[in-house]
Amino acid sequence: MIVGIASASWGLLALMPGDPARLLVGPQASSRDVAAVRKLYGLDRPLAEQFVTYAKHLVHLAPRGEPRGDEHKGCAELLPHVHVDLGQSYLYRQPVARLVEKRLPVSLALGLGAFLVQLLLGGTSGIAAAARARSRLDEVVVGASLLLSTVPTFVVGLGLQYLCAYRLGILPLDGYGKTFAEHVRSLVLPSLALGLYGAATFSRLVREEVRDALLGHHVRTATAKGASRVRVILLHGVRVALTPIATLAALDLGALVGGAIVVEKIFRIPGLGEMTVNAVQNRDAQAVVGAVIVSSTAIVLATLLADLLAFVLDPRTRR
Amino acid sequence: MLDLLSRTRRAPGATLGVAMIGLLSIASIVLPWVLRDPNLSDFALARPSDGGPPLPSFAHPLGTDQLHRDVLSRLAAGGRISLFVGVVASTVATVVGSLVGVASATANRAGAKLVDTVLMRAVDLTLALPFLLLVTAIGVFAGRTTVSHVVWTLGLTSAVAVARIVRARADLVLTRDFVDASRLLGSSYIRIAVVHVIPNVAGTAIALGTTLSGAMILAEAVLSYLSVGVEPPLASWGRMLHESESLLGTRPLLVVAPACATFLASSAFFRLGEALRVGLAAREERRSALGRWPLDLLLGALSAVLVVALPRPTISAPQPAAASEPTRGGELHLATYANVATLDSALAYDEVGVAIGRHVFGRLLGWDAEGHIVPDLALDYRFSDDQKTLTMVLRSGLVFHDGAPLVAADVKRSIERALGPKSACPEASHYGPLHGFEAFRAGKAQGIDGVRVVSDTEIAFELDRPSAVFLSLMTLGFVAPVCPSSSPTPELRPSRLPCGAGPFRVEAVEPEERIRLVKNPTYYDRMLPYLDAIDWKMNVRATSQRYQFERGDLDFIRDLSAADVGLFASDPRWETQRAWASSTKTFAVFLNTEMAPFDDRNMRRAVALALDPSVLEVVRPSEQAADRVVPTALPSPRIDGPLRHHDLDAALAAMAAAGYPFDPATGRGGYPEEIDYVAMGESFEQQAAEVYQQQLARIGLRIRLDLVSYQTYAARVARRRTVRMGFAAWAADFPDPANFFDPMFSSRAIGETSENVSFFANAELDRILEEAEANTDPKARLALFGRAEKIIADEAPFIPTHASRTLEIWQPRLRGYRPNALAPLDFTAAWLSAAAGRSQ
Repeated sequence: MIVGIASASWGLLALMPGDPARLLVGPQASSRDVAAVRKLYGLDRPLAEQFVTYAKHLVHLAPRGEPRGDEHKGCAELLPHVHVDLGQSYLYRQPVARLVEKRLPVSLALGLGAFLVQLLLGGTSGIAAAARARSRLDEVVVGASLLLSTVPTFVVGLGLQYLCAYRLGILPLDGYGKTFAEHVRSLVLPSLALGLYGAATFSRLVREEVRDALLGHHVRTATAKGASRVRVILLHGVRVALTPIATLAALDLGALVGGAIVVEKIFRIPGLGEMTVNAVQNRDAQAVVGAVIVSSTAIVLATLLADLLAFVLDPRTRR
Repeated sequence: MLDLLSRTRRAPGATLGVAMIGLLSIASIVLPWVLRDPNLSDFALARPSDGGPPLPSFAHPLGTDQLHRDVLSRLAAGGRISLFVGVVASTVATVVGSLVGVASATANRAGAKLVDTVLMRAVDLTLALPFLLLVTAIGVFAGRTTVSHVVWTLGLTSAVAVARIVRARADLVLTRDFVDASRLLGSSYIRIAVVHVIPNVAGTAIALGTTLSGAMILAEAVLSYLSVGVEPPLASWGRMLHESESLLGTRPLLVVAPACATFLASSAFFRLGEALRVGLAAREERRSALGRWPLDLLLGALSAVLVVALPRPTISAPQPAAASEPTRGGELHLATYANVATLDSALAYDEVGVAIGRHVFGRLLGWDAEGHIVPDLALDYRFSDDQKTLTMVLRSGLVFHDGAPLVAADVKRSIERALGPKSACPEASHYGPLHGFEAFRAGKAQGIDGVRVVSDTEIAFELDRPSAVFLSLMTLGFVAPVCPSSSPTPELRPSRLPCGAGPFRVEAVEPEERIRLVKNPTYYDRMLPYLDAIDWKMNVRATSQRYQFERGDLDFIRDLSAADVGLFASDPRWETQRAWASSTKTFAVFLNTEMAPFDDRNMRRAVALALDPSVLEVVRPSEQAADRVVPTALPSPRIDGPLRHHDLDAALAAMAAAGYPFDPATGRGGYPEEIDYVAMGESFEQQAAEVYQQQLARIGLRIRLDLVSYQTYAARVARRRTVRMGFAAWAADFPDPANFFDPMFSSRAIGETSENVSFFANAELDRILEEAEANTDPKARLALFGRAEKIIADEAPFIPTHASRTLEIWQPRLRGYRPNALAPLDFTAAWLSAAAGRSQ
């Protein structure tokens, strides 16, 4: 499947107008100089040939025993002696594997932050709303969740940036910082911007599921046996509702990868999304394909994780 | 069905949802007829003192946008587009998705497992791709994005999600008894799909589609934000949001109004969709996700009021520093929006990369602010009598950063490194006049014969023909001497730090983050530099730079948003701490002289007379209207009086002479077809294009904006007989008029791909340019270029419109910096006043 995606994105890029050699020489180089650069880096060869070269190098075995030669400088080591070579970015003038190595952790951190926002904010508000169904609290949770899921992510992002970073100055405006503490501080607002949308939908989902679970006979039984309200809600309500919730939460990871493109742009987080948009707009072909391969792999893994979670949480699927 | 309707009507949110959708639709349909033209600028309106767009008034209740267009009209017109996109895209998604889902489920049941597998794999594949990435890629691929592009892309990409849900539903329907019964009666699966499955999943699909409408309105906004939305000047709510994003601080209403509209529409559709779902659901699931009260609307209104009512940010006064003599030491803090991808002197061409290179490498010769060539690493130069040999004398005792001595042989080595067959030097072909260059570049010779080491301090350049610009070429960074320890060929993936003989040494490069320069103690000028170090951050957004500057973390900024330029340029307290750096770049409109209708000189003149770039100065204070090819900041021909003026009547007369008379009163006549105007989206050029579009409409020339990425633009305009008109710009590679005229207007530059994007061939101009190339007398050359300017103004293949200045602002503690258009961002002679200590 990932191979299919890689080929498809390569094909799509091949059809686009634009010339990677221009990225290296800028707008004012003469046609002669552009042609020379094209030839120098093999960009004048037929696309099919370029693709075959790319595909051959994508995953390969490293020569054993020797130190890393120049040829393998741009490779990432997936397993010992298994190299992944994602080609060369002409925009960043770096091997794509190097770019991804640097940016993937940033994107994952942002994704994780957003996921936490979604789980904590969405989860607690959903459970609270379910526990106090039809109360004022319930109304406010539902209202806020509706608001947040009907406002574009970038408006939320821009608003948060303007209020918290620019006007109040309590958090960094953008960028990623250098130390771990700075990373954490820089990720607060982007995670919120990205996670709030998810939290809104998630909150509604949790509220529904937990409410349904609380209507079950086992809850009445537990209450009748004298279990405390908190115990009933957590152990008998949330536990039962956990399976569909976990599945959907894991699936949302995929949506986070997409939404990250916008958030990374606003907060200038050096993640994969920002790189992808830049690469697409500049026709930096191998960088685009590399980013697509990595992010689709992430989504596929998240889907697998969702299935796995369902298996672990729901005894019925284990039969 | 009636049952469903009544249940839906009673569901919470249904009435409010329908009412909101109704109101928004009626407003969007009716208001554009009543209000003024949403795409018409009113430049008669004066700008307030803060430099932002005009404030709300009776005529413009919500104010006007950057281009002085009425925001209320645009909001209403934008509603038409946004609602249309929302409804139609979700219809496409629902119909296509349902058909795929039903087909897949039925095929599975009918035994055609392969069809099901293929369809569902395709769905999985699309779902695995990040949605936004896919849509962006399609948008970029399509090049331009009309409303129908947006509708189809959004519709088809969302169809997959619908397909999944509908397939699951259809699967359930297919297990029911009446399907088996129908099967026993001999119905085909196609009949079953049509008669039984589709009606049974229709309800789910419709509810899904309604909710999706809201999501599509949001998605359209996001697309616009990523600049692949509907094409300008059309307004959509998303585009409006995107266009005024940078005005959030000064004109929050411009952001809040479209944001509210988007929110209202999407939440209205959500309500309706939810009501439908509840109406459809089985009794036990008949519970709405909506609360009793529309609290979301209240919360939304509160946030909107909060943003609008917050007091406007103002800029703070500069913190004074004590005046003193130049002092040594200190670290200068700078930032740039750009990413400096390479510092290799043979490869760098971007402004900041070149500027940093100037600090690191030093040049053979340099430029002063008045446009005179001054010594740098080379002390002196002389031409032979036949003008074919240039001899340069280097300073003695020069030392590279790595400790190696710098002698004439190093100059030859560095030039050959930059111009060699394995170098991606962007301007190599400029050095064509050097004897033996071609053979060397093609890899057929070991070195450039024409570069001859005479002694350790003397080097001679032998030319095949006299070249008036050769000396200027020696001032460029490409031929700057680099250390012997540098990589033997310029590298695509830099593995060593750049090393030269300039005033600063590169201490560290963190790609995409920062470049740190430290003082070179062995620099030939023992007095310089004053600074100990320069910390140059990259990839810092304009707003972030301003914020850091105000906190005192940056000593100097120039990447300001248009709103901030207005604020700083009009603040008297910053009077002594700012300067406009003039640009060496000319912006223009080009007309392809090989294609109709611009093969007719009258048509070209009509365009030249109709354009009035002076309004651009109103839109952005950094712009200056221009009427000549060579920017006045460069050594340029002296021409008295304007070369071109704006004259609507003369333009109409020229249109009539070309055979396309136009009557502005009735709007009849004019050029019959729409003409594509190519420009880069997401730049000031897009705004300029929207202004030109209005101006050309007044003479009956209807322009359609074809806004593309830079890469697409470059590929398209260079191709022969492809683009009829569009944006053009040229920045000086070296400060000589020839650098503008030779590539852009000489017929020699025309090929199947060409920098002469007007494909302009004029025998007289060719003669003048040839004469200027061989003539080394500066005065005579300028006179020749004066004639060349007149030919371009008369023939109008290229209509210079504006030059863009840059507002540079520095803290009072930064001294000794003066803007120099020919050597921008040069801090060699700058120093930091010790009196005002840095907080850190």
